[in-house]
Amino acid sequence: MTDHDPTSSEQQAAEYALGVLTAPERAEAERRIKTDSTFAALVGWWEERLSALLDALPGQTPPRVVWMRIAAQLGLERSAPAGERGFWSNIAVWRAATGAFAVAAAASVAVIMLSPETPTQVVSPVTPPAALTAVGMLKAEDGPTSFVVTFDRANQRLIIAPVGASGAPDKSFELWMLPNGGDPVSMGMLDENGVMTIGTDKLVGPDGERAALAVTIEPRGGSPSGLPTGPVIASGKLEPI
Amino acid sequence: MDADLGRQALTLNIRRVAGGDRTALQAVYDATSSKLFGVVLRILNDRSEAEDVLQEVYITVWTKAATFDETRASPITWLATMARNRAIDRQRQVGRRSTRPIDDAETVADDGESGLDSVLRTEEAARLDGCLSELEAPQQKALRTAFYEGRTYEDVATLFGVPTGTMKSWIRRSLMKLKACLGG
Repeated sequence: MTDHDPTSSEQQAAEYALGVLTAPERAEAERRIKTDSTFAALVGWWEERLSALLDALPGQTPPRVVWMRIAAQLGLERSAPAGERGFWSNIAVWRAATGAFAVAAAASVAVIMLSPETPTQVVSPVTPPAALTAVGMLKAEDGPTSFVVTFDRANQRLIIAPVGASGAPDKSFELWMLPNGGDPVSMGMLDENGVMTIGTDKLVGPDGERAALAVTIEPRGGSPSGLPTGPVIASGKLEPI
Repeated sequence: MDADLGRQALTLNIRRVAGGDRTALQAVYDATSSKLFGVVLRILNDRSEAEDVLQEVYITVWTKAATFDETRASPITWLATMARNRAIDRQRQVGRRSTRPIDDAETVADDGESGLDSVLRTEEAARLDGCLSELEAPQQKALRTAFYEGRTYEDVATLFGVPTGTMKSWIRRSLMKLKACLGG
């Protein structure tokens, strides 16, 4: 890759870094970055210099749902090794944001992952019948609140049941579906008295993909705006076994 | 916090992300997402597209953090460049939503003390500004528009009402002058 005229290399590197090239020209420049270290260094020089222009650009706070989706998507990265059958092995656990968002009962959440073979490890009032293929648990580490999540395979639904006391009396845990490219959809409150049942068909977004799930802390009765306002305490995505 | 400390903290957090530390990813997100969202929103001019790109960027940070080389790029340049490139690629696919005004009511510029503000390299910015100010006004404006909005030559030319060939020579000449001025 030494047959490039230095002037045209310089020009191509600068144009790529500036962002004026068309899609095919960009693809060509990207191929060259990978194979030609001199060219890659030229691009790097321009990127570093031009990025100073970004200092003048005001920031824009992204909506909370972006982080929720990232958290949910990364749950997939943590999935169990291939072959493991645990239905909830893909659920992601996220520490709640600290500082401004600290809510004692939900400072952190643990998910107990169970394979279908070992349902007896669930310490809960829910005794899964044989037809239920998997059970998971959402639990606050330093509080009594937890939720047992059961997948009822025969009826293709999730059963989410609270265990123990709830969080602060003025707060509710709200379950959200996070479709790709759309606003979160509330699936209801996960409070101490009810058992929530959700058909797995309800967890499919408009794009036909299974949507991620997240639990947030909201004012009692649910988010007043219809969109998540509180910290995300758990999120994950339902994956076919 | 001064700029060096902010940069060091960000570098350290990216290294922790490379080691699989999720809380570090959240720290990187908290420190940089408002800046990067500003960058991609300016290029795409569409909130939904910009949100998707922002999500992709941090997923890439998670998977590619180990490729960050602090001897070759500052952490914020690495992140911002990744965000710009993703946004430009998306814009080439879907087009720029020029009909939707970017400054609608729900978009409030965040001029608070974000974690990133402390990482800004004001000296570099001042130097670049100095060099840009030596260009003629229309050329300078064209270069800035191309950069901030990620537009193609043809697109900037249309916007400025000049032939594409003219725009190419404006920007190419400006880039050469800039290189000389910056001492590359």
